[in-house]
Amino acid sequence: MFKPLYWTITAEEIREYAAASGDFNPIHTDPDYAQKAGLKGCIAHGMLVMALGSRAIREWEAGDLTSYEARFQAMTYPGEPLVVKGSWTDEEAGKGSVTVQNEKGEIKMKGTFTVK
Amino acid sequence: MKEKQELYRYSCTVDEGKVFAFKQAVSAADTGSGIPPTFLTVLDFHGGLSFQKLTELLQFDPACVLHGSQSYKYIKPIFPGDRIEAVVYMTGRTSKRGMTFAKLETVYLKENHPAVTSRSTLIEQKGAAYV
Repeated sequence: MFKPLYWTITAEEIREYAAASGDFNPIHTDPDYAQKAGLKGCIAHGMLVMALGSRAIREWEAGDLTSYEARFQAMTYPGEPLVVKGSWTDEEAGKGSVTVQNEKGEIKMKGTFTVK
Repeated sequence: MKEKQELYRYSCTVDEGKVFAFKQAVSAADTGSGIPPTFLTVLDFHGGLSFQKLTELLQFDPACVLHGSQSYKYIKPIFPGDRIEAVVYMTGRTSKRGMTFAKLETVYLKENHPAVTSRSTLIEQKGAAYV
């Protein structure tokens, strides 16, 4: 098991990610639009959550990624305390798993990776 | 649909300033000279395949799109300044229980050889939205 990484994505970070990535889908940045789409408010980009996972893999010094896969399972709201957990599934083969979940254990992203 | 169908194609140069801004946004400023693992989606947007454009091509309602999954295979490193040609394919489209699933595959070519391949699933689900 790798050392868990704790992170809370803020509304400001979501706006910064939108600007840096070019993904201006308004459900991430416009609260009125998000509510009309049936959400409680703006949500983080799935790809921002996936980037949080790759950041953790880097901090764990697992190695250079040769593959990285993620399944998005729940929406992530700004201000939600998150924990990124990971472990080797086959260390010799460089295979591992990574999940992003909130404090209540709701899984936001479930992923796997391989490194060399 | 059974056969994969080319959906979009673009080429662009990996912009150092955009890589820097992205690294800042994902707290990856100290990660060396290559692009971050999830930067490829940024390349798509800057190559003209915006979220709006993609939903148009898929004929999805942009307010009801779920990003179900995303995967990458990294074959060769990509650096700022590299010229990349990307070809986006739709490899499957199915509907069940009011949801439509589109499977996409993107091949990012550097000097005519695959550098990264990407696979993703987008879901149109009325009454739900997150990407």
